[in-house]
Amino acid sequence: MSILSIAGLAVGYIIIGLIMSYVAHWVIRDGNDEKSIVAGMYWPLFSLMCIFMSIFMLGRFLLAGVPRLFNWIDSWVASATRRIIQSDAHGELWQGAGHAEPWKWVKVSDETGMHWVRVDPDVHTAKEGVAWSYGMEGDDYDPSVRK
Amino acid sequence: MSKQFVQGDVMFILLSEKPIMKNYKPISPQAGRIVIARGEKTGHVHTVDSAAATLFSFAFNDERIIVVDMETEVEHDEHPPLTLSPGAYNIVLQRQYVEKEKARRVLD
Repeated sequence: MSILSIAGLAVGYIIIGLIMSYVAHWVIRDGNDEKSIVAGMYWPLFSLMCIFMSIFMLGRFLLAGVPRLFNWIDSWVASATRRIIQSDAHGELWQGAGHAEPWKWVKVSDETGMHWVRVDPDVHTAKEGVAWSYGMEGDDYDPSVRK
Repeated sequence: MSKQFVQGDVMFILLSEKPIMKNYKPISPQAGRIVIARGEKTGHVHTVDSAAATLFSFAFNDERIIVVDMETEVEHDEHPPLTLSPGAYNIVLQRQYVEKEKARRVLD
C-alpha cells in the first residue's frame, strides 16, 4: 500500500468519523422511536471505530513516512556534496556523503545523452561501477557493441 | 569471455551454446514485436521482430533468454538499433544501488 493511499484512508476515516459522530448526536437528541434508539446505540460505536481506524492509519503513515523523509534528506546531502573521484573510458565515478555509507554514482554518456546510475559504494572505478550495474565484476565487463 | 552487446540499460550476453530450455516459457509477441524490456519512467521499449527471435523467461526467477534464429535488430525509440546475430543471449537489465543490498532496475 502506498504512503499516499494510507494518508488518504486516514483522512477518509477522520471525515467519516466526524460525520458519524454528528449523525449519532442528532439521532440521540431527536430520535424517540424504536428505530432511532437502535441507531443511537450503534452509530456511536461506528464513529468510535472510525476514530480508532484513523489513528491506526495515521500511525502507519508516520511509520512509513519518517524513514522516507530521512532517506530524502540523505539523498539531498549526497547530491549536494557530490564530487568526481575517478574517470576512465567507461565514464566517471562520483561520490557524495551519506549517513550510513558514501553514495556513489557512475556518470555515463551514450547517444541519448548523459545518465547517472547509483552503484555499490564498494566500487572504486567507473568501469567497476558500470559492470556492477549489469551484475558483473569489473574485469568481466567488456561490451563488443554499446549503443 | 562471452560477447556482450549493450543497448541503453539492456545487455545481451552471447551464450556459447544454446541452454536446455526446460522450465523456460516463451513470451508472446505484441503486434509482431517481442518486448524485451520497458523503461518504467518513459515507457520506451526495446523490441525485436518476432519472426526472427523468441524470448523465453525462466519459471523460477527473472532470468530471460532470447534465441535469435536469423540476424535481427533490437529497436528502441531513443537508442540506435543493435544488430544481433543468430544465437542464444542472456538478457541482463541494468540495476541501481539502493540501501541494504537491494538493487532495483534503472528507471529510464
